[in-house]
Amino acid sequence: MTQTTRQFWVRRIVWAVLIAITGVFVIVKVNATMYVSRPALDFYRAVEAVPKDKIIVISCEWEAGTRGENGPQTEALIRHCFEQDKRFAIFGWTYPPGPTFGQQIAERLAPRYHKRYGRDWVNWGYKAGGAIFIRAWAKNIPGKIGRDIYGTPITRLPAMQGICTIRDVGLIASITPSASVPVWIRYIYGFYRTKIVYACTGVMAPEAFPYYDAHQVAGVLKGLTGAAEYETLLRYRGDAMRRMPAQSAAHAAIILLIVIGNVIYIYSRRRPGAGSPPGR
Amino acid sequence: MIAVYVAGALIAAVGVWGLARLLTPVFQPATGALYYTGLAVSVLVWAGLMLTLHRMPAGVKKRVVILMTFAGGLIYVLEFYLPAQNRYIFFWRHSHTNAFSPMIEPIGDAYAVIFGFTLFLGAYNLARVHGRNIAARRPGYHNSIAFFLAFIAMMVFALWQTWAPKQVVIAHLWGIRHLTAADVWGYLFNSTYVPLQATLFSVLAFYMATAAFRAFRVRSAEAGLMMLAAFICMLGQVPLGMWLTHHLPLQGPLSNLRMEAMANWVLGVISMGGLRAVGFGILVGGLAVSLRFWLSLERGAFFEQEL
Repeated sequence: MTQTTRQFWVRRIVWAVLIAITGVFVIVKVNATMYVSRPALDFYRAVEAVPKDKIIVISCEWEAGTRGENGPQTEALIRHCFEQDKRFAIFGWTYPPGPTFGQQIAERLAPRYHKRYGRDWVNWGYKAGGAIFIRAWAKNIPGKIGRDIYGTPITRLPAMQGICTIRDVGLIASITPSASVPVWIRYIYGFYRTKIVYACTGVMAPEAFPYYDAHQVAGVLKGLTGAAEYETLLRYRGDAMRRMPAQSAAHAAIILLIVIGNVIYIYSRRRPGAGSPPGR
Repeated sequence: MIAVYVAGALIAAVGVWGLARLLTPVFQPATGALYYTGLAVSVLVWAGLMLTLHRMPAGVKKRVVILMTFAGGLIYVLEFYLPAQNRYIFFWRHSHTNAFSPMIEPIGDAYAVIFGFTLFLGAYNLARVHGRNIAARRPGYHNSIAFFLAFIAMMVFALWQTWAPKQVVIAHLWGIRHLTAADVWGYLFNSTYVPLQATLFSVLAFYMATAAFRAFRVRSAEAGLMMLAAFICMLGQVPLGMWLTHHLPLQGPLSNLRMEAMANWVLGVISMGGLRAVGFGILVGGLAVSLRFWLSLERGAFFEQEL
């Protein structure tokens, strides 16, 4: 077998193993237990602490690629807001489809909690302009947002009553796979000390910790695990909890593959006259 | 020499402040006839300005760009670094507040408009590149046709469903009744765009698994430590890892050996130190690059091209 053929088959076998393992745990129902970490607990407490007269800004800065992680995070947060009767605004400034996804989740959950668009939540849609827009937005929210996604002036919506500047925002929840949270920290936390919580993808979690440790971010949800922890706090088994066994299995499979790869590597090095290790 | 630079910066600051003060009333919200008149005048003024700029010699154009970049940056630098309220610095203002702060809003509006134009420019460039591919029948021009079909379909139905979401697009077709514009857009977005992008991203997991198997080798003690940290982090994030150490108490010294506690320690202590160091390095580098952009000292691609 030539090296190219070997590589071809090794790749396919690895992919097949991963598909099979995750597939089984997606189909088979396993009751997983989650222990809530401190960053997730702080995220939950930051939402609970928002006073009724202030609004929560749910910044949906994600798109379909990270829906698997950011979707359940957004859902758990919106569920929490509905349960606690907190007003919130869905907003996006990095990825245009983000607010659409947020709206879909809110509309799906609203009937269960008897919530109505415009009264209990509002969708500001996507706004272009990045950090410069955010700076201007903080000074005059109705002026910079103007109309909601349905074209209604936001000042006419009951959910927006009394919301004029960043001082009327109780919490900003940045749900994103990108490194956009420093913009919130620099221009919103830095100037106005508005609380920020950060829901990131698993790969971005290490980058969130310096901000969390410095109290610039009040709480962190780490990928799907963070969403599952949040669901545990809400005493609800949602998409995140349902997907945790599959993620467990995928992590175990990758660990196992690394171990197997290393065993083969050590064995091939010890064998006299051995060439390059298999799989390479 | 330094005195000349300081004097120049002060004159520029006063000039920028005066210009922005002058333009601030222009950016106030307007409605009805005033709005449309303002819009028409703005378009004409900007078209004239662009035409004049276009006809200027290359050296002058370059100086205009340098001046605009410097002025734009100066407003933000002064607004950021000068105190919010100070009776000595802002002595001429009754409120003694930062004189540059009121400009942030209108400049933010102007920036959002310019940003919108760049999106249009991006779409125009894409259309031009793919249009040429099709016209010249270059290899893979079928992909360009697919681009145009997807682009036009998404754009048409996105606009249609915004203006008239209930309007019927298809009345009767293969048993489908009353397919509205919103339905078609929903289908394109939820059943085409979303799965396509999710699939593209999920492929990463498979590449990661293959890469881990083929490339993650313990060739040294450092690599061994990295692998141990990776295993702890991976297991500490999922119920399986938590289950492995679930018999350990939740409180007390032994709780630190629980998998989730170890994973959080690796992320929150070990990895954070390194990340902070990297972050500082990146930001110091970013500051230097920003200064070079702001003062138009940057050289290389785009900066030395003939305008």
